[in-house]
Amino acid sequence: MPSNMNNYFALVKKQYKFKLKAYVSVFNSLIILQLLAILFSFNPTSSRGFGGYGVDASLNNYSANISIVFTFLWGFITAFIITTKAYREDDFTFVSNNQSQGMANILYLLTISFIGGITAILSGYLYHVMFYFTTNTSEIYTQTMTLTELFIAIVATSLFILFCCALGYLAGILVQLHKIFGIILPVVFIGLLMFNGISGGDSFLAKTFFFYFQEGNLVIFILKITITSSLLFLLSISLFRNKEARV
Amino acid sequence: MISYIVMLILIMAGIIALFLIFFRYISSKIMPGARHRWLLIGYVTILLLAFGISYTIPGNEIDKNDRLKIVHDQDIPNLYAVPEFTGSIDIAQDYLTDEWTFDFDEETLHLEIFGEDMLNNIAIETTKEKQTIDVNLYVTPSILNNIDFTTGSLPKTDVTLHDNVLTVETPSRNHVEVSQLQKPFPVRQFTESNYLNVDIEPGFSVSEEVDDTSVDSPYIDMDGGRIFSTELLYLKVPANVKVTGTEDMNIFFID
Repeated sequence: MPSNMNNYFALVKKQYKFKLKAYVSVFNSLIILQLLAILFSFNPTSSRGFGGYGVDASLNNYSANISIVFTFLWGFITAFIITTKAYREDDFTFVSNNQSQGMANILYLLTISFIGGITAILSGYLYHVMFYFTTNTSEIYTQTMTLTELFIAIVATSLFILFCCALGYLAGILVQLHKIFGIILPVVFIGLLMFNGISGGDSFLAKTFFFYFQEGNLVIFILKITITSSLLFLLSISLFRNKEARV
Repeated sequence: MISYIVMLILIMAGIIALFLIFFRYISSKIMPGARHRWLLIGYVTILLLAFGISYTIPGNEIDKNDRLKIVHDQDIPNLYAVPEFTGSIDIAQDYLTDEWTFDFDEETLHLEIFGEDMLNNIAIETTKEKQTIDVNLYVTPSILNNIDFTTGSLPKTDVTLHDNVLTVETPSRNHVEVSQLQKPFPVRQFTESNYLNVDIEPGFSVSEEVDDTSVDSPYIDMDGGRIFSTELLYLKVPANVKVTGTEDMNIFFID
């Protein structure tokens, strides 16, 4: 391997390690968000009721999905925030360029995605324990996960977070490229939402949502998320490569 | 639906963004760097402890709990169709919930049914062997997501005989409330088909209840993971006794 490549990877590694140490505070907000989500989860996510001879039945479903959704949002916002000038300034502690910064950022986002994924799924167990000891309902049935399912849950959640990070990172980069994107992106997104409402759910947004969230094959799902996230990151790096030259 | 969800997520994202900015500001003021790492390590330790404890909480396993059953289509007899299709009640024997026997020496038997619940599905078998009225009540369970809401919760039905009037008083309904902790959606996505719609409650009514029962089988088909209970009052009466009821009763005579 050429020595300049070695230097490049060494630099990326150094920046990555620096980010892991310097940005450790992002996990504080993750912890608070997941704990808040657990509190919100004490309301049933859905209730079904029906009657039969002699019995009126109601089934209240609970889950810790809010914790997972909050972690997705945390990933998106964290990725967005690390593209801001205040964070980018930190990278100039090293002799670096935008490309090595981008690579280090991606590695950092990859790491926090997996930490986020693991804690999001484990927070479901914390919720389970709290629910068991605090709820008065006499009959609680728990759909426990097998170890394989636990593994699937962590992988899938981590990949979803990575996808959110990739989106957040691209959005952040676009806004850093030109402030006008700070207006364009929300307008486009809200416009898509409105169009989705008008078209009765058969819109680009709905199709995109189902493309990822209705994929039942884990391997295809991993491919979909990995390829999309890679493309988003690649686009972000390409866009930002020649953004500025710091003197 | 999707718009609504995404709009909610958008609002939540805004709140979380504000929260993150505020939290970053506060934590930089009050918390030195090393403590951040310890906070994360402490949190992960708590999560791992909870993971361990959750497996010590009494589980609800199939076979160990009366309420939990794995039920498929056509597992449970449809008591509205059983006597007509099979000419007997044999396949519903597991669902006999109560029985009464009365000596009877009249020539007509009049049925009266009242109470909170409807019980108008009646089958009558005539017998020459004895001068008694045998009343058997069959009820199949109400099942939702493999949870049986009826077994162990069915209130008592009163049946009395005065002169030639057999009176059945259906019970007030018991309210059975069950909480279910579901698996997180990233698992359900790969283990359940159509998991996104599973929480949407389809409208249902008495007429749908009738529609859901299969017309060419004495067994019930599931409707969105749900099986409605069916009930049957099965009478064995002496062959010389004439049985009368009211108009709303659906009486079926078994030869």
